[in-house]
Amino acid sequence: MKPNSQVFAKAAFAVFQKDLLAEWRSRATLGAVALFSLAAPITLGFSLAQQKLTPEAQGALLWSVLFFAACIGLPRAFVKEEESGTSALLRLHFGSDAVFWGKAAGQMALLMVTQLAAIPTFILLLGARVGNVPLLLAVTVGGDLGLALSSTLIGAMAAQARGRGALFPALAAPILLPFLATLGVATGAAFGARVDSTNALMVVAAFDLALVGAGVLGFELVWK
Amino acid sequence: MLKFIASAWVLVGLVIGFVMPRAQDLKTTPIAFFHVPLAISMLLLFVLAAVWSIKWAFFGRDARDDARSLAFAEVGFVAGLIAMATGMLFARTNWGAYWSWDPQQVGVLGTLLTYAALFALRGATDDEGTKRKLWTVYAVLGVLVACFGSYVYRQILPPNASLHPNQTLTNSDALFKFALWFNVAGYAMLLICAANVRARFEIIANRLDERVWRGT
Repeated sequence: MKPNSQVFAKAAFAVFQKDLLAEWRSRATLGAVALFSLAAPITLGFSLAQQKLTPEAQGALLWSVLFFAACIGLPRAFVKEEESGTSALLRLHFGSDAVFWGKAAGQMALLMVTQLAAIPTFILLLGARVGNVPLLLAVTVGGDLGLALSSTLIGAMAAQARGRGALFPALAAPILLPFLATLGVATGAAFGARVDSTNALMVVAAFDLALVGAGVLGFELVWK
Repeated sequence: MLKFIASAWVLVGLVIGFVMPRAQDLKTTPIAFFHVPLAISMLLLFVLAAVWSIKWAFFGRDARDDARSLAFAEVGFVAGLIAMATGMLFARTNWGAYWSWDPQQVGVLGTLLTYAALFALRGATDDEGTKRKLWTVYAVLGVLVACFGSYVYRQILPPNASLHPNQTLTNSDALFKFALWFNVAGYAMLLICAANVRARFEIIANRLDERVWRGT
């Protein structure tokens, strides 16, 4: 008899693997998110070519781009399940915890892969100077974790309503407003702004923790 | 009975607001006794809306608790809109502009947007059980956003980033503090009464819906 934690980890990994495999076969979400992440800095760079942007503005713009890119692809994880009728099978085979963590890990992987190209493109085109690379990495991981957790919880909610994916940005934007503003401040500090990055990082970590709590407690209610 | 006490309390509070000494760092004071209590009451009502929805989800799934949660969120939302509008008048007088992207103003705007999204989510769900489950989770997230947006976010900004004076309460006359908390208690009571009336209407509407479905 396997311990519960081992069964849970195996189930969550199976959900994660299923999502990655499905994405690898179609590459629809990855393509859409990656294209938007590249097109948005190009559009911004083109329209702001003659402007001297402050590090604070660059930090805020980076997370605006990353958030809207996430809005395009992330809600698909649950909308796809509802449209193809596989959500019932998922409910039968796996516990809600395993689905939540498996899906969140899948969203996180998708975000990190697209940002490998999107963040350097943004820095290059908008002339941002990274003064503190470890801080930028820490903010990116913290931000991606928050985006992945919230998009899993809110995506599951939006998928059960009329309009499905279309409702996701309207639900996610207000919830993530203080989080995105904080990420903008912390990223601005990594780009050279004179603000206290420790406090901003602590707020990012606190929001991530709050989302973990809300996700663990709320997802079961939404999913069952 | 409570609604008569609350109404009288608010009327007395309004009079007190006009005769109190001026607050530290403010050019005009009376509106503070209306705007600030409404903003605090808005947060209180949103917390109560989340509490009623948690009660629905984990303690018996009584439809009346969900109706109360909806009522508290709706009345809190209206209080937030009034607090926002009066806050803009307050900002024009004290800081020279209706809207100046003050972190606290943006925090309240974000909170109101969250609850607008919550109402949209409720309207976009057909099944009653699903509607109530989604409402519960989003109402709890709403309180999280209200706390982060209204309080935590401004802590990471430089001290002069917010136009809202931080020391008004501590530096002002003791009478000012009394008048402010007197008004907070009055508006909180009045809005809770209003929410209870709204909840009663919602509960009656739910019962009528059930009768229509059953054909009785």
